[in-house]
Amino acid sequence: MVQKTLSMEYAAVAVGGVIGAVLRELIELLLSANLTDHIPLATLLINWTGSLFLGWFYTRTIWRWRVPQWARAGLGTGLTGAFTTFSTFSVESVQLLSHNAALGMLYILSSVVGGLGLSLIGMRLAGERPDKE
Amino acid sequence: MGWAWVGLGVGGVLGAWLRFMITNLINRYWRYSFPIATFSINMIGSFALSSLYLFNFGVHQKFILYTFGSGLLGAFTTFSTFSYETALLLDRRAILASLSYFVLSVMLGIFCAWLATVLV
Repeated sequence: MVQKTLSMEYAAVAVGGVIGAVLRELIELLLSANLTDHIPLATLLINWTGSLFLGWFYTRTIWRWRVPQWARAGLGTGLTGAFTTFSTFSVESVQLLSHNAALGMLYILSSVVGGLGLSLIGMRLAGERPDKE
Repeated sequence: MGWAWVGLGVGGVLGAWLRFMITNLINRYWRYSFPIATFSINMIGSFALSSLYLFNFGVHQKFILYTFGSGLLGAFTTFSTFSYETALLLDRRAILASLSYFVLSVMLGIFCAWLATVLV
């Protein structure tokens, strides 16, 4: 039973991983400006929406919705985890910082402060614990 | 279109799997609130992606960057989990863990990406 549950989770993470990575690349291609003196809007948008969604989804599926563990793993760890990306954020930060320090700082701060804030908002949108109400 | 997108998909699966596996493994033994699994993954991934961009793979450039860059390392590292874990620690009033995770991730992540450009 444990084995079966775990393989279901790995299958869900795989499906989520493909969808997340392809979706991210499509957005990067659509929004890419190929300019070194612009904030990487695609990555910023991807990381913001992913942070908002994950805060909402993980909280909602703890307190309100009973979903199987593979669904949390597939949508959370797989899809949202693969959709958002930390490595691209780091690399773009270094590139932008070396070309335009002010824009680089703006990109870094808006990414991380915005991501944290949106994740907190997502958690609030998901509602309080039922026993708190 | 073509092989690069196939590589991207396969890389996406492997990256997400690897992150899932490492996180499960570390969380079985790690007893502190600092999210060491995501932290390590994001640091290693930042260094690796930055290194990858320094090489010229000739005719295979697009395939390699899609497969190992956007696919594998893009899916391996994660920004949403980083934001969520910081938010969760804040919500649980684990201020020190939250703040150190937040600041260390950002500063060291960028440092790792920069370090690759110097070392590799």
